[in-house]
Order: sequence, then C-alpha cells, then structure tokens
Amino acid sequence: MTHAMYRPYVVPAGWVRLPALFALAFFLWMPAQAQTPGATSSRSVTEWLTRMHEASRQRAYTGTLVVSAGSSLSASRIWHVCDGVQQMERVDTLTGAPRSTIRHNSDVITFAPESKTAWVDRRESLGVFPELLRTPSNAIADFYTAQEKGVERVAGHLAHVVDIVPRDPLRYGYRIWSEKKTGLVVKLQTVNDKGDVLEQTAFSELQLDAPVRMDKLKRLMGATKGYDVHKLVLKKTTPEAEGWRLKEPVPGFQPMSCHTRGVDSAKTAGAAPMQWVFSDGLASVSLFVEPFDVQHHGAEQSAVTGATHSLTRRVGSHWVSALGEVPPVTLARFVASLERIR
Amino acid sequence: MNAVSHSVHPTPPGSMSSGSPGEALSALVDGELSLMEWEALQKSSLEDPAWLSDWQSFHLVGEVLRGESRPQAVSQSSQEFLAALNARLRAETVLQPAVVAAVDQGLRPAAANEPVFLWKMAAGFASLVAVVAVSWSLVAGVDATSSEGAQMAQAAAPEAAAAPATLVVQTTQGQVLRDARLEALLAEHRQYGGMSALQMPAGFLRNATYDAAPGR
Repeated sequence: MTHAMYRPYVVPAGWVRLPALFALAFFLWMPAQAQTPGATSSRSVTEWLTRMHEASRQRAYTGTLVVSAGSSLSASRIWHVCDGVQQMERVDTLTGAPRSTIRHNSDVITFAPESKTAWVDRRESLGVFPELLRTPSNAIADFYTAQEKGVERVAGHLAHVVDIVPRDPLRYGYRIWSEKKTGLVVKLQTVNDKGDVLEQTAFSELQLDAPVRMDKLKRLMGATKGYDVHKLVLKKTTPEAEGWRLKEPVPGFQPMSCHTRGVDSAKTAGAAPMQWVFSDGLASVSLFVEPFDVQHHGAEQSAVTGATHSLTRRVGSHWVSALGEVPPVTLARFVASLERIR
Repeated sequence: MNAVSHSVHPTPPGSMSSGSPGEALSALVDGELSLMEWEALQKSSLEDPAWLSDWQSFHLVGEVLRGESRPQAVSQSSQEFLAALNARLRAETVLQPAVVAAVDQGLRPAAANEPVFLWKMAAGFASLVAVVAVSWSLVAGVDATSSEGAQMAQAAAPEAAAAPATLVVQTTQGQVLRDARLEALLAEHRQYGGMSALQMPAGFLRNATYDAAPGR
C-alpha cells in the first residue's frame, strides 16, 4: 500500500522534465510569434512570405474564393484545415465545370461528378517552398523587395497590404493582402511594371477558425466508389538525359524539376513532352519540349491569359512551348537560351 | 404588369427552379446556394445592375448585423471593384473588331474547340461581356470619364499593336490561349510547374478554382 502511495512521488523525475520540455518548445515558438503582432513595419520579403506560409499551416478556415484573370471570373468554395503537420483542403468550383479537388499534403484528388471521373496525383511543388524559404539558397530577396502599404479590409477582415516589387523587368510584381492577426493571404494581385492588375485572387467571404473536420475530408478523399479513377504518373528525368541545356541561365530562375509524363496519362496524341520547371521563388516557368509534329504544331506564337504568358518556337526538329507567370521577354530569353546538346 | 418594369434583362423561363433571383442571391451570400442554382443565377441575373446593388447591400447588412461594419469601406471597395471591372470592359471594346473578323473567317463551322469546356465558358462569357460592353458604351459614351478606364484602354492598345511580331489571339473574353494543346500544357504548368512560395498559401486554391482541370 505504502509503496503504491509513494509511487506518484517516485515518478516526478520524469514529470519535471516534461514541463521543461514544454517551456523549451514555448521559447522556441515565442520569437516567431513575437514578430507577428508587434513589428508592423520593415518586414523583409522573406519574413512576409514565411508569415503567410505559417498562417495557412496553423489555421482552419472556410470561404469563397474569387479568381479574375483577364475578363474571366471564377469562384469556388474553400475548406482548409491543418493540425500543424497535416494539411487538408477542399476546393469546390462554383463556376465552369463542377469539380471537387481535395488535397492532403502533396496528394491531390480531383473529382468530376458529371463524368464520374477522378484524377489522383502528387504535387511535389507544394512541399518545396516552406523549406526553401528557410535555407540560404532562398534568393527571393535578391530579386524582389517588400513594401508595406497600410491596412485595408478584405472579406470583412483587416489586412496588411504588402507590395512585392521586382528588382528587374524579368518578373511581375505582386500586391498581397495579409490578414492582420494571422498573416493569411486573403487577396493577391499580380501586377505589371505599369501597375496594371493582370490577375487577382481574393476571398469574398472568409470564416477563420471554422469547424473543419479533417477526418471528414479524409473520408471524402477516399470516396471514389462509382468513379473511374485515373492516376497521373510523372517520370523524373534530367535535361541532360533528354539532351538539352540552357546556354546561359536567366537571372534569378533556378531549375526546380524535370519530368516527362507516364504513358498512361499522355492523352493527347504524340504527347509526353519533357517539362523543365524553373522558379525564382515567386514566378515559375515551364519549358515543354517535344518532337516537332506538323499535324499538331502550327505557327509559332505567343499568347497570354491573365498573368500567364506562353511562347512557342520550333528549335531544330523539336517544338518548344514556354509558359509562365512572367513577362514575355523572360520567356523569349529562356527559349533563345535553350540548346540541343546531342 | 409590374413584371414589365422588372424584367429589363431576359430571364429564361424555368431557369430559376428555386425562388426569385433575390432569394438565390441571399442563399449565395449565405454560402447555401447549390451549383445548379448558382449556374441559373449566373445565366439570368449577373448583368443586372439591381442584382449587383442587392449583392452589395446583402453583404453590408450581413456585416452590420455581425457588428463588423465599416459601411463606407464596404461600399467603397465594391465600387472600386466595379469601376475596375467596367474599365476592363471598356478596354475590351477596343479589341472587338478583331473578334468579329475572326468569327467571319469561318471559325464557327470548324468547331474544333467544341469538346473543350473552356471554350464553352469562353463563348458564354464573350456574349455576356459583349452585351455589357455595348450597353456600357451606350450608357457612358466612348469618352471614358474615369481616368483609370482611359489608362487601361491605352494600356491595352499598344499590346494589340505589337501583335504582328508574334500572334497574340484576342477575343472579347480577353487575350486567350488559342489551341487545346496549349491549354493542356497550361494545366500541366499550373499543376506541376507552379513552383512558388505563394503556391501553398494561395496558388493551389487559385489553380483549383480557375482551371477546373481544363482539357480533362
């Protein structure tokens, strides 16, 4: 009996350690939090981006998102939940074809209820940047600066307006509305050097800390019964292995990944183009290279939708399509620099 | 009788299965509108200025009721948005002749874009935009009194003028990627090439909203 009674006093060695651990965790966490409410001025571009990132990692919210690119307007209903480690999102389109997209970390499934078709794939790009923001190879500050432009209200929430201004004409600028308390991105505009808005995304309605159930979303993600499920497979490769290189790099743009699509998912005839992806941290460019085919590849052209430009060129016996949220001059530099090495 | 004064815009009979546009709008504001109803609403009421003012006042009422009101800010930002939209529409009228020419060249019978959903959407939008654009120029006159509108129109003009070097495709929907193959590549670029620090907080949501997986 006595032994049992004293037992609680024997255990404390371990119990003392636990609060200490909590305290340690708390102090590690404090500096990050301390920045958020106080310092309203002079956050660096990396600090702003990190803050926006963290906001989506620590919140649950629902809302209606409106995207306007060019003169088209799209809307969707959003559910977002994150327990700090796992992130889940559901996006149901309200315009265009009905689609329900559910994401669990990098895994994405898209349901098309009309055709009873679902696509499963992995978006590795989603996991790249939170880490990159913290590493020394983060060169975003070399090509962009951040300027705070006061406080405005978006979807009923007060938000800091932050201009991300490019340092050279090879990229667009961004104006971001970052919710005051949490840092959540509530509105985002892509702007050109004249200040014209090329594209914008904004919540028209947003409920922070909404009761979003992760288990419920997970169940929905697995509810593929009655659906024809397609799995999209990407094959990793290197530009060298495919026989390509850039004569000279385009300033700021780092190669991020290179892949071709698996045979199964290549739906369009003759397609399994190499996709070589570059990013400067905010803007990205895809170079698609495939054998030239008279039937499918017509005139060389450039086009634009919203902030996304495209440029197609014939390079020897190949057809190159460059696409990216960058000014046309940037795409031209990429295409001019692309060289066949065998 | 009062129907005459109300239905300035055409409302296809039976398109609103549940309730009046006002009710549907109220449901939309509350986030309770089903997809079907949204589509019907979009078809029938989106170009109606009364609808827009209802939309604005519903939000205003909602915010006042929730005690988060700063009515001036609300109405101001909506007006800003509308001003920007109208300015954009005015810019579209500059581009219209090119479209008429394109249609005349017999693109319609070819119907190469038929299975691509984006084009169906584009067609719908184009007609909507055309109606609004024409009526706007009738109402406001071509001389844009808003300096912003004039600016945007000017900004659009040089782009169109620069076209001969490379073929930029213009429609009333804006400048768009013309062929289905490019659209497929665009989708792939967004899905697997969207390498941005903004991808996680905003890009993914944006892409899932905007693209709706075109070409699939």
